[in-house]
Amino acid sequence: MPAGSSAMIDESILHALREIVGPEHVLTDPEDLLLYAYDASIHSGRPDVVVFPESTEQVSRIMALAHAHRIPVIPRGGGTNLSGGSVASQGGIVLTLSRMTKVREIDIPNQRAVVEAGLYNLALQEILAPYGYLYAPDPASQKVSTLGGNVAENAGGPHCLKYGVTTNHVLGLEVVLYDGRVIQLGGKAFDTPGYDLVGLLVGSEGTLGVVTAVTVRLLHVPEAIKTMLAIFDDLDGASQAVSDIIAAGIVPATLEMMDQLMMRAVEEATHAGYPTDAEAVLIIELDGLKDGMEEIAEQIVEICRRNRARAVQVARSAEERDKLWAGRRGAFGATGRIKPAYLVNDGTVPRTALPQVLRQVREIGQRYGLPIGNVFHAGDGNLHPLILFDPREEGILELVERAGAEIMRICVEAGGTITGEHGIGLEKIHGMPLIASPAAIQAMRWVKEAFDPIDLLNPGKVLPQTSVGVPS
Amino acid sequence: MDFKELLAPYMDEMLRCTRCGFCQAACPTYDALRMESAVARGKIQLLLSVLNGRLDLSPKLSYYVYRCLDCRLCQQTCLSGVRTDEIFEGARRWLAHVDALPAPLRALEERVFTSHNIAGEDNTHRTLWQENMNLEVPAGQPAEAVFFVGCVASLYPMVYSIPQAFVQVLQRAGVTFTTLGGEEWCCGYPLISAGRDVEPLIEHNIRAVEALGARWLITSCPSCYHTWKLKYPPASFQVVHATELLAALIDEGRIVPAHPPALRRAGDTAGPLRVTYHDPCDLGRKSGVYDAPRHVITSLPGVELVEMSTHHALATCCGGGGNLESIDPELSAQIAGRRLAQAQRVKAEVIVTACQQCQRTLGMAARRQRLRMPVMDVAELLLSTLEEPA
Ligand SMILES: Cc1cc2nc3c(=O)[nH]c(=O)nc-3n(C[C@H](O)[C@H](O)[C@H](O)COP(=O)(O)OP(=O)(O)OC[C@H]3O[C@@H](n4cnc5c(N)ncnc54)[C@H](O)[C@@H]3O)c2cc1C
Ligand code: SF4
Ligand code: SF4
Repeated sequence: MPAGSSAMIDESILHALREIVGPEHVLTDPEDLLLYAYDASIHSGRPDVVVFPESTEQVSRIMALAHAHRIPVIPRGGGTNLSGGSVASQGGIVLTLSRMTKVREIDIPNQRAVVEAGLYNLALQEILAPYGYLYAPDPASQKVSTLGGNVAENAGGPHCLKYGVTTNHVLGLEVVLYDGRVIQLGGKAFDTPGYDLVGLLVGSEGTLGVVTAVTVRLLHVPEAIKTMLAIFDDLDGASQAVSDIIAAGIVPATLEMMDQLMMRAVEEATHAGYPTDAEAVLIIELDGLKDGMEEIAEQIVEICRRNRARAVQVARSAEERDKLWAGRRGAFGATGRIKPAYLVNDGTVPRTALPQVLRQVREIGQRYGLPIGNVFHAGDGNLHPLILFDPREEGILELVERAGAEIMRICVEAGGTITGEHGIGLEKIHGMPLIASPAAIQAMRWVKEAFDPIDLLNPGKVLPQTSVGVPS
Repeated sequence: MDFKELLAPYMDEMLRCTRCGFCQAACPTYDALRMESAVARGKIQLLLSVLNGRLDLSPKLSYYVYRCLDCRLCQQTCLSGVRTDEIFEGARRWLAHVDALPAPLRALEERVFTSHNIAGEDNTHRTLWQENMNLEVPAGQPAEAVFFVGCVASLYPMVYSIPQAFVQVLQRAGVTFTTLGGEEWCCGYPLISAGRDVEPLIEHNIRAVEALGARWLITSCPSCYHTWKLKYPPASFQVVHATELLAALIDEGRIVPAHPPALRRAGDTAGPLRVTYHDPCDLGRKSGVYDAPRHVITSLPGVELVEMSTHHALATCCGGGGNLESIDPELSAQIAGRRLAQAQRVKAEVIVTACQQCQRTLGMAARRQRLRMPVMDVAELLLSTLEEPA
């Protein structure tokens, strides 16, 4: 247990927490603390207590209590983040929003919905489907990641190429501040006067406030969808095709790439129909009006052919399409079939740099003797090289981290950045100076200071410790 | 002795868990509790911590491991292909060895080993379900087929109707069969899933069936079926599930469903009866029998089979799986309520299943909710479509 933290939480505080959420929703046994010490990354950190509020009012009272006693609070949704974002690296209270799943309002005429932060992304989609609407951001983890977690990480997904990421679809937030005050930021209107604090909170990784409810924009389910699988015998051809499709001014709904290593794992897991003998595939989906879709599809086929695609197949039924997507969404999970652990990088590069960066990634893998699989949002230039390893091997973690750091660096050198959607958390904190100048980091720190002057919310995440002071 | 060597062989399998958390979506206990202790990811991390020496054995750890439906949905949906069934089985064997069984399971064990049934009743009570029927149910006579009734169906009056319907159908089809009567012992399923060895039960039951010269052992209980088929050593007879037999009898024309089930109430809509089928975990996902019960249902006149949002290999557990009902009856009921809600959403008028435990769990939940949706066995629905014998 981290030094100092257990001392902060005495019996009177536990008693107060039990008063707020009920005794069965306050966990302190070693088994329970261990169960909330990890997320989907390789990081861990044990909290001192785990609480499960079910209303904004309860969250507010917990924050007020934490504030009065200066106890760190780590908001948590589904615990699926890939950067150590929801682990209690300094102890404290893990505040789990899994019980806050109410739908407060579905406003179809205005194409808005207001839902609580603990609702799964997919649960929202299922609620909207009968109305013929959807919420565009579709992280591969959508069936188990929460809207609150999506907001905090500014999650993206395959369809974000055309529609934009979480921040483009969130219009309002109900937020509990570090001292327990509840504020409403934005709302159903497209823009609200004053600073864009909604924009600021999205992607803040639980360090600026606890999101308790989210107002989202809804989109009509498209009239037509066409899903294509372009199969390549070389990675270069596939990445050049991506670059060419975008350069031709085409914006497909998705433009995803998967390489051979990942296809093998995915096929074993889902039998989705991926060609495991190919070097790479592109999953290209068009959506929108039926009119004109065929011509765009032909243009894409032509570009793929020009880049030596072996074949371009079209999903013939909704079932075939669902299978391809189930495989794609399950790709990270399926890596357990190859090696027990992975470190996933999330760098973003200009699309024109894709072929070169992918070659460099491969070269890094060879140099370190580590298998690296690729499955990613190619259209956005958002790489996800997965470094696969067995944590039981002596000294391997250090090797993996070094390879990971090299990948981050080549992304930045290619004019990109170190994370597209998985957040900084703990994992990429050392990479922050690569993309932000000391002054920029300082500016971020001022924002943090303004929202959370005593560093209660998810401390130790996102911002590297600097020697530069903060304004008093 | 800490017997951790019983757990150690599963280390590799546990390490294959990438902690992606996707099992949260499938696990019925997680769906109800929304706590990490309920889900496979959590259970695996706890067990790994035990092996790594970071966590000690405790009643809570044992409780968390046993608070599980043994429904295998986590394994079915895990993309890493983590064999959660093997891991959990190993964990329970370990816990049973170090005497860490939760109290309700210890009591269950005591009952089964002394009375040879899960209810702890005098074992001759196994035939009480046959009273008040205009039918002689043979026991202990040499016959080609033995009907192994199972503890729940023979000792819990709420589901007496299942064996009663089944033997009536058999009789009308002219199938000669016998039962073991008071010589039937618990198949051992609840204790095997608690992590215990049940050799005496296995030996007794095999000997009793073989003594009658049987070629077929028929069970209507999916747990008995799964246990006989996959946990018992191979025997000289074939193990058949009741629904497989019923489907074959229909195909051979030995039973002829004649009229729609007489289940409609005044004021109900016209048109075929909307029936949904609930796949019992032990029969479907764990034994691979999906088609036979559906075949029987779709052979009935005036019946429309509608599937719930989850079915076949992805069917949600009714809440009565594993030993959850003994460990946490409230949670079991809550899960049953969620399955009922799935049936309601597809506007089913009747839930049909092929398991006395599913029927009890769902039936009790329907009663609690004052829901007028009958829950019945495939054999019962079939019987209600047959002509009265002349
Ligand atoms: C197999 C797999 C595939 C994935 N695919 C994608 C993908 O395609 N795109 C993508 O963007 N991500 C992806 N992810 C990463 C992850 O699912 C997302 O980051 C997701 O948004 C996290 O949501 P969560 O509910 O699990 O949040 P958690 O992991 O619980 O928390 C994530 C962060 O958000 C904070 N937080 C959580 N809830 C709140 C709240 N209510 N208020 C304030 N802060 C909060 C936490 O403190 C933490 O910093 C994937 C992960 C896995 C395991
Ligand atoms: S789905 Fe499989 S790999 Fe993912 S957390 Fe669950 S058990 Fe582990
Ligand atoms: S067996 Fe069923 S109840 Fe148990 S952890 Fe897996 S999904 Fe959950």
